[in-house]
Amino acid sequence: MNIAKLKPIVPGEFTGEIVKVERLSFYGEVDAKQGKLYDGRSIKGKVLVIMSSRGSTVGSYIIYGLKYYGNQPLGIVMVKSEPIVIVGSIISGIPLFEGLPVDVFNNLRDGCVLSVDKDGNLRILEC
Amino acid sequence: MKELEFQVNEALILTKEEQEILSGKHGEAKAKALEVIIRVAESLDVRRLVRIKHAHISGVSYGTIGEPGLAFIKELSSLGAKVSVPSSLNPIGFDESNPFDQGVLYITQDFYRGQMEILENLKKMGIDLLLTCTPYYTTIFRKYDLKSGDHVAWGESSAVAYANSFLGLRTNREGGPLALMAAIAGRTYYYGMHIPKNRVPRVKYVVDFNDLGYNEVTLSLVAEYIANIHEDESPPLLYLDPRNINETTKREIAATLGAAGNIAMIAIPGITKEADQADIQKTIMVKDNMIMERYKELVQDQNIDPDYYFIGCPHASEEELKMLSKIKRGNKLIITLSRDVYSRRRDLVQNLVNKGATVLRSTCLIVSNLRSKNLMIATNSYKAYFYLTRKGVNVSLIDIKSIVKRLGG
Repeated sequence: MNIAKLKPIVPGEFTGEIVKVERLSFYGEVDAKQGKLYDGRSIKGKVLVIMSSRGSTVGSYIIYGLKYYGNQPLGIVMVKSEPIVIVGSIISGIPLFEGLPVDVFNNLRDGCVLSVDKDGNLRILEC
Repeated sequence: MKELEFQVNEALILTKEEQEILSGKHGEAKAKALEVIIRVAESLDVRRLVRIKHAHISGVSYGTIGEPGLAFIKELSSLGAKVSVPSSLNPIGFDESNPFDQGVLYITQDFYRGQMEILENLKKMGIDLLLTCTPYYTTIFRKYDLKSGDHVAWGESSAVAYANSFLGLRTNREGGPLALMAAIAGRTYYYGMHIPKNRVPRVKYVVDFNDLGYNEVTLSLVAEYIANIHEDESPPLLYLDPRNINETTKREIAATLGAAGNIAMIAIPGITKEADQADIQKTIMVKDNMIMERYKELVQDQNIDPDYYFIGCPHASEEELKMLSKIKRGNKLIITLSRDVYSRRRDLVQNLVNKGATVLRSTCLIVSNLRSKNLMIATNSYKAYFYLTRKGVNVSLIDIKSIVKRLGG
């Protein structure tokens, strides 16, 4: 079922298991070298679903670091994006989409599988 | 850096000079930098770019950006990148005057090498090695003739909020690499805080405490509360008596907004020009009881003796050095500040060092490396609390006046 239409910020398409975070500061809350969130969850090869970003402007470099160490997520889906994340995704070539409806965000949980095509059509395959 | 493909969106209008830059007429590095800015502009449906007068670049410490950041900067530098507007840098991972002997901080030879390589490459681009997160406490304003209303591209989330809110400068929260690209291209995307109508507050937060006092810590907890609930795109209006706000409070509020949230500006009546143009649609009362839980959680218990007291996140001001110079025992005190303030007030610094304080230039506890994480640190900085606790350090908050008292002043 086509759940929502997202806005492509950095183009791409992906299908994968999600890791969900409400608010994220890439600097301080993501370890690029380990590919993990600071609560220990791995984001490598996952779809990172974020309500909103916060925190340091160094965040763009941390996203670049995820790519540098081969720990990048398949893609990032946000309710609302922010230039810090946009720049990080652009220089790292990590697909980024925004416009995830809040009610959809609220219903998602870690392990749900979703796909986003290049036009931003979001489908939830398993949840 | 990935090879960038792009096509200029019809909605985005470039000047003749920008088209020339893009074609490579002004060098490969400048073309690359502008390409990235244009891609951001397109993703945000921006119509044009804006020339900037200054750039302040974050993401400088090897401790924060590491090898990936170094690789990114080196690649730009190898293309012959040069900044086209006056530009300055955020703090690095150690005090250059004495990198390997800094008490609570510890860096390895590898860290030192990585940091020096970052600095050399940025210096080659023509960037001022200001090495502070408080560029507004330095001479750059006079040096570069920065004035209210000027467009700039600043990284460093705390300085961004300070610049928009208290200096009238116009900047978005630029990611570290974007601030660097903007410095090279001399422009950024015309969006967000650059546009006057976006700077007009619509939601008012009225601070009304009964029991708590007004200081940088309690008002940072208000800022955290606002950062968590503010959804409007416009800057929040913080309504309180301006007499309850001093320089330290302004800086710490700005730093909290940038750490706990993604707010680039806050308007305070009597301080921020845009507060007078407010078009208030919603008013929210912020009472003591709304922050009391966080207050009890974070504020330093009077009976606990921390390992260190830390002042200087963001970098300390001259006024704070004056306040702190009243202390009697400084052996537990760590102060971080800019070289600029340090050299201007060597007298106060010497006084504090004589009392046992550790005074570090050009770095701070959150961008360096701690010798041990098994520490209890008490600080007046919510931002330091936010990032140090994420490194596993035990941090509590205490206002600077109370620190001075505890240390015998």
